[in-house]
Amino acid sequence: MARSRRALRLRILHPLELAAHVPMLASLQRTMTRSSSLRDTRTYAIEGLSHDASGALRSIMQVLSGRTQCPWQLVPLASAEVLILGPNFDAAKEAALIGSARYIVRVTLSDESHFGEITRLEYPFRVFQVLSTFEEVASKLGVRKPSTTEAPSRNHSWALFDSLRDLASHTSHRQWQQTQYGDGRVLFVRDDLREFAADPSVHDDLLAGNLPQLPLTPSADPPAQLQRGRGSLLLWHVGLNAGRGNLSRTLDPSAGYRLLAWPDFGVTPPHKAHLRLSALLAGGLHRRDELVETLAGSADVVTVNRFINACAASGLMHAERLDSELPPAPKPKASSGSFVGSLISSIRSKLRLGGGNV
Amino acid sequence: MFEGQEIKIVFTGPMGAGKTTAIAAISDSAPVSTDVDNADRASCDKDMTTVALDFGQLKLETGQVVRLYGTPGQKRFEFMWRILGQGALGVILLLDASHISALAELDAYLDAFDDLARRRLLVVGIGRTNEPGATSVPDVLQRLRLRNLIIPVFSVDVRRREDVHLLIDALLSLIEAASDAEGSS
Repeated sequence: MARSRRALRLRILHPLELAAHVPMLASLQRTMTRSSSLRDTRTYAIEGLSHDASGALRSIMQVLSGRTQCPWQLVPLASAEVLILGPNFDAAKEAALIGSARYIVRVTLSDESHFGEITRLEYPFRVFQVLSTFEEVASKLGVRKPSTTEAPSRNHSWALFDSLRDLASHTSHRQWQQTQYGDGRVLFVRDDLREFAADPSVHDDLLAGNLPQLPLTPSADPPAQLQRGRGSLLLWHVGLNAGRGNLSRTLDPSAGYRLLAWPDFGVTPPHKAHLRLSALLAGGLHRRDELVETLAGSADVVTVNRFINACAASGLMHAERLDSELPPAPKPKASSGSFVGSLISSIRSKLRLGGGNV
Repeated sequence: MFEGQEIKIVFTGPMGAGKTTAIAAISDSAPVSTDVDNADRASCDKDMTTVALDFGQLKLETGQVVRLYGTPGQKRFEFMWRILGQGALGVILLLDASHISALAELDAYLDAFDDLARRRLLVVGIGRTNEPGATSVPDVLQRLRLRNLIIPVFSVDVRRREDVHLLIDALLSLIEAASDAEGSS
């Protein structure tokens, strides 16, 4: 069942939960740290292009997905490292961006020159021109000094997610971190990620997906009367609800994913597609887009992104960068029309199960 | 896959893990049990225990019947575990985390149902994980990793019908994935 593909890079995700429980901790953390530097996904935003030009560029980028030396992901302007700006982009705003840590690719219609531009992309676009531009960006950003300002991923969608990842990558000192929000609500997290403590209202916010993405800071021990919870529950729900349905920028959308272990759905009741996703990912590597295609009708890209984020936050996911020149994996044949598919459907119907029938 | 065979799901695990309770939670009729007075109080402190098997069934709208078998929990009936496992859709293994020998019991059942476990047609439900000193889910996962097995392990209380449904639903997802993979290979 597992597919054989040539892996170019290994172990780009961190096994948080495993690291928290086994003596392999140090080795796993080293692996995770190394992995972070190996796969450095760049975030791009496209602004100021006509509808047609924007559509053409996005199509070309889709074609190039997985073929560039550095993986990339389209994100909103405010959080992108690389801005592809068209002629309709506000000149004053663009001037303000010059000298910022953002990398600008200017789309031009002629030989006109623009202030401060670093790289130029000519419209109409051509695949190889876009590819060489991406390689130029990857090359230049690869040697750029890190910004002294806040890292791009530390925004309101990911701050808590990133803080938890940071904790997972450092040796635990059995100390506590905390974040505060709203009317004095406080979440305490032990730095080995085994446990958290909070008021019942914060527990409710966590389960309802209402916990804000704010960074953790070191703190004293939590008051004894606070309700304790399993770290795995916190990691799962923070991962599930971070990023408003986007895949984390620390994850490669074109990578192949495989489960290291199933989530404990006895603790975190599954969405109806989670069982099916888990069963598929336990069986072998799958790209994100393949999962969306296989689960068409029962899970959209947002559901798949959230699931991958949650598994990654929980240290349950393994990722490999796949060679895009290899033929795609055989698409699973839907069992829905087969004897087994019909039988499963009947059992689910009988027991009124909402499980991930495709 | 399975066409023309008896359609059965096997519930297995040591004494007191909740096999009879789990079958009763989903069976159309009260399960047929072969319980006798428990003469092995040292292993499990309960009044009655199953010596042959539990049996329940699900009658589907299609006219098909899914048979639900519960294996006897005592190790001396191990030969019956293997017999009941033959041709099964899959196995639900129930463990009691508060048993001091929970991990050894896990090993024994994985050995008995090795073929189904390797084909990822086995789900583990582990109860009483909150009791002091209990075996944890990560402990079980670690054990499975040593066997190179990636199968579901859920903390459950089989007295809750929805937890039994979760185990069944996960097993159905595994069967579906296995069937899809066979179809695409």
